[in-house]
Amino acid sequence: MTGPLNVNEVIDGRYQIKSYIDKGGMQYVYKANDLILKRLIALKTPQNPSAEKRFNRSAIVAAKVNHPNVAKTLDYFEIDNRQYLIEELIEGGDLEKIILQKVKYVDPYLVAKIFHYLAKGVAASHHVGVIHRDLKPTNVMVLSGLHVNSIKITDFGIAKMAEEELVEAIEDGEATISKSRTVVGALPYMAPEVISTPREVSFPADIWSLGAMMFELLTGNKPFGTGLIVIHKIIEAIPPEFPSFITNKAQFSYLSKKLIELILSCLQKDAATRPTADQLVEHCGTLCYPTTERYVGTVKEIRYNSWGFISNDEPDVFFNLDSVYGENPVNGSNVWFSKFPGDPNWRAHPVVCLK
Amino acid sequence: MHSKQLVFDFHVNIMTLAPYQQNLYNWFMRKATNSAVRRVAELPIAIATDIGLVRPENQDRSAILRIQLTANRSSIVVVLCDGMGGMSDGAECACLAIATFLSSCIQNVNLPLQKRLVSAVTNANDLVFAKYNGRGGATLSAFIADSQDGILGINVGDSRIYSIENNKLSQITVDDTILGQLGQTNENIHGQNELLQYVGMGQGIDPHVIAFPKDSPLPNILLTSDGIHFLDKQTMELVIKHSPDTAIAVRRLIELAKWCGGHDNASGIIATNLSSLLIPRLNANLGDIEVWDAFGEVQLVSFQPPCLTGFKNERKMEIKAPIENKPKPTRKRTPPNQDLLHKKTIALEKKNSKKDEKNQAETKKSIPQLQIDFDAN
Repeated sequence: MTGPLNVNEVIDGRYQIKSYIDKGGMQYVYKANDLILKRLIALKTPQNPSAEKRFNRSAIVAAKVNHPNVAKTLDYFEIDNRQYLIEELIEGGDLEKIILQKVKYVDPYLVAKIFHYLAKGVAASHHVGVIHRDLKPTNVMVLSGLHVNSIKITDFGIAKMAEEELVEAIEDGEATISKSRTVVGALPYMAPEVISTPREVSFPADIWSLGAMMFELLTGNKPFGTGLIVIHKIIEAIPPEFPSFITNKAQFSYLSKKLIELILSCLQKDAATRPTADQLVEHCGTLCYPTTERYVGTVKEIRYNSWGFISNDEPDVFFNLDSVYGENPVNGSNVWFSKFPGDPNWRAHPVVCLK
Repeated sequence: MHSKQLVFDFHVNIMTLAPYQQNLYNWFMRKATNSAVRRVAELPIAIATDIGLVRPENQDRSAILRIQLTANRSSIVVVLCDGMGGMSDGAECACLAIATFLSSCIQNVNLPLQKRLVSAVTNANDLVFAKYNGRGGATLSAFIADSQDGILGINVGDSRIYSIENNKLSQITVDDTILGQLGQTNENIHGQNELLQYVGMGQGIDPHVIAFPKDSPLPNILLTSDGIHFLDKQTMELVIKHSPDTAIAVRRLIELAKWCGGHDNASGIIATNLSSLLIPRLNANLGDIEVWDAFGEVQLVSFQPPCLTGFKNERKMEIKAPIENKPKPTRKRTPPNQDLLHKKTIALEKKNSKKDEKNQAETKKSIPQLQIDFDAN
């Protein structure tokens, strides 16, 4: 176990710690059993005094949002000078761990689905006046691993109400506390106004972050790169280029082009010209994408450099190289795919190589 | 700025750093008092650190390393690391970063300065990342004064290096924060001063190599952690201007930081007369490797000077007896001037100033806390 709590410890006479899950940006996360409602929940408690300062307010802000694509805040309390937040338990992992660390890029079908779900979650948040301000892959939870059954936005640690003063001046000397957080992970997804004019940050900053995340899923690259130079590239906001593999196969090009259009609309330097979350939901609603489950298998053979078979636990699945998004697999490659009924073999589409 | 290619061209196997790295790590991890200030042997350098008034532990680590390579060549490394409080194990990360940085500087003492510094930061970054997977880290500000190769600095994070000329401070590093990178200092806003890079972040680190002003005479240098430099710059300048010597100046800066809230650990190093650091030391034992921090010193002894071994025999080096199993040497740490840090009257400063001089003398006579013998077969 890590952090201040131990297995089987009962908090507030109600939440029994089952196991340590992880550290979030500023908090320890545990799986716990709600002894009254007999269900598993996520219990969060801050890591340090600087996290404590925002913990209560972030709980209040997050609790306002009620949507299937946002992790639900269930309770908040303080005991013995320690704060606790009870949240819906999401069995899975974040987008970074579950998807981006396992595949170089994601096919446009799944990107469209994730985009749609996230846009709905962000729209629900914006409807109640909440700006998340820290949307990035590690704050997006994925249910059921590579099956990607659902998506939920989490960690409203620095979220704000739109009507609030959007920035907080730091008290003298307290600035040093901020080093308990770094922006290394968040920087690639930050909108230009977050960097250069933080007093002007509002709902469109979340839309930019959404566009930046979708660019990364679709292309495997961060839209403005990595490292310190990113700051200046984001401020310039020169539209990033999309690699050709995204559109060079007929099976993917139509949806890819629609996604490129949407992503670029989110990455507009002028915040006022970005679509609203509601508009994004509407646009995503016009996209055609399957919601079939995903599987992992191994390419068994490829014939004539044209088609082959994927083996997994069930009968082999046929695939055509035209159904491969991005780099072609070779014999023995591990692949991620959806499958549809066929005879004599089911057919895989799309197929994406795992790292 | 350095390309990634440059960094990896001279990347060394971190395992070869083990003999010095592990021992230095243990030394930096030793228990210490809440505050200390000292002058460093006969060097024109003063070093100080303080836990502050809020933090439960001091996660800053700073040190001075001197290697005597030949009768005509010595190399001095001055380094300050600020462990990232709130992330995992801030003190451990700072110790790992500084120990790895210094051991790499020893290991690669024959590399050109820039490669030596970048390699040392890269090694520290790799090792901290390997252990903490990006969830902990430290800032690092350092410079090397090498009698053969001159002076060069390096910086990662938001600890700082200032030059001091005519009692004016000029920050010669750029903070790795949004405000720092945009050249803005006027508005302290949450999110704007969070770190963009740190030692331990893993991939993507881009250490800044700092060329020192080439004025003649060379400027004095101040290294600070943010527990000091959150203070108004003009006030810092006044404190330095009106301090009778460097140890008192750095101590007063720390005291002032505490009077202003003491929100964070505070550390500072002031080096004056840099030209003297470039003059080879006479009557020194070849191969001597000495390390000082605000609390004490350690001497690492090799039978052959680094210039002869080239520090390439590290795999053959053996620690003759594990430190833990060795008969414990008489421990005579130069006592930190803690009372200096707690008493506020100027009258006491003079008294303690004399005490400092006495301590310096004691330092020269003191038995090393840790003596490691290497067999360079």
